[in-house]
Amino acid sequence: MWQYFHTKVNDLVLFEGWKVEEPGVMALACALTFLLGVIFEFVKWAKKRVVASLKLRQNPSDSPTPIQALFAAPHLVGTAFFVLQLSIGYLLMLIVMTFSVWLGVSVVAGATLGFIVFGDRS
Amino acid sequence: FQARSHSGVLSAEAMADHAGHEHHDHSAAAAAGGHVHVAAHAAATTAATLVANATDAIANLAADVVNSDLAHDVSEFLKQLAPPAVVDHSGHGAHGGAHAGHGDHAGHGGDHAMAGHHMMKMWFHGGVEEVILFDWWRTDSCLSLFISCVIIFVMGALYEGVKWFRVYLQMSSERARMHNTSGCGADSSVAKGNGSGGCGGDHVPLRDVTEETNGFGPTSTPPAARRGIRLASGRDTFSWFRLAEAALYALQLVLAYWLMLIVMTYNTWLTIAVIAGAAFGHWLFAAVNILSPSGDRHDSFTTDACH
Repeated sequence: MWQYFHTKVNDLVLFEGWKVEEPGVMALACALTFLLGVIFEFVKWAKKRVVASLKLRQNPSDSPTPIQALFAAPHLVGTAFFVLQLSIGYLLMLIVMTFSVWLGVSVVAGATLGFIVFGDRS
Repeated sequence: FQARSHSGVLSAEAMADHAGHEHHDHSAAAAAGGHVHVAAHAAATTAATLVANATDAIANLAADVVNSDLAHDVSEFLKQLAPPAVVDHSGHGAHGGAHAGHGDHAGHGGDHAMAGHHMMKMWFHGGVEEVILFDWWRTDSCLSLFISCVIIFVMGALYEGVKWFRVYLQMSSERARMHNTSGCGADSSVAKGNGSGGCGGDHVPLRDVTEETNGFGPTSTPPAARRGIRLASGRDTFSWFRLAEAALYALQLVLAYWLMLIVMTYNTWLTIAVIAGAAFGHWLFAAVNILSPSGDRHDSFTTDACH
């Protein structure tokens, strides 16, 4: 495993068979990573949207107890989104951990574009 | 009888056969008279065999432990914690030479994937020899490690500072927009820590303002006006302000990932430097949370990739 940032195209990305040893394959890996970064910000945004709209649709006179709120739709759906967000986050971390400069730049660039489009704007 | 001593359990069965065999012979031979004497003799022999087998077992176990990887790793760890001695230094010289050769090898070729370096110790270790983030950032002495720790401390504090700065930006732009909508006109002096602002009377708590401009929270402002608010404060998708925000976000991401990779060296000193720097930065820049009631809410968008 690499121990420092490198530009040499000789990496193994996430799975045993995903060897990246040629520029063409690296370009594909970078594109997919970029997409994953954008999707990460999208999931963060989608979670906020969906949970907020679900909360709006709730009966305001209900005022559920904490236990009830635990099993209500907003929290369950929010948790599902959280799991997706966490998983993608860890995948991005593991991709950065390859120490490949190309892949690391792709992660940051994808997340940045995702932030520009989906980031909190309030 | 056979398994009374727990160390004898290992060879209890063999023992049992042996004892049974002996016992059988002896009891067969001494039908009448010296039965007690024979039994005692058998017991003594059994006990001796038991002790012998136990000793063998313990010796084998000890040999296994001494030769095991665990013992080797522990002794390596202890060696690294010890201050560098003459012997270590000469070893270091050879290591340094081997390292240079290693660099050449990595340079041209890769018959094996990921230019095999010496194994990364994936457990917390002391020691002064590390490669940090870049091929050229190597520490090989207490001084270089200390300087690296100082740099990493600053990086940790800087990371918290970037997070703080983004919150500060958000809050000040929110306040500017609040005063825009309430008709007080653009007020650059608003960018301070208090919420009362320069408009006097209508003090709207910051929390209400943020929910109003959230875009999908309960609001009485018609969508068109909301959109107008957004445009007026330059929060368009591709405004310069947005790009500056994105640049700050990218910087926060890069710092976060680099700090994670530094912790991944599993060097205790470097990890302490990361934690201390982040703690110091967090303490220093927490003023924005103290000064503003809605500071907590802003944590949600200063989060980075993992948390």
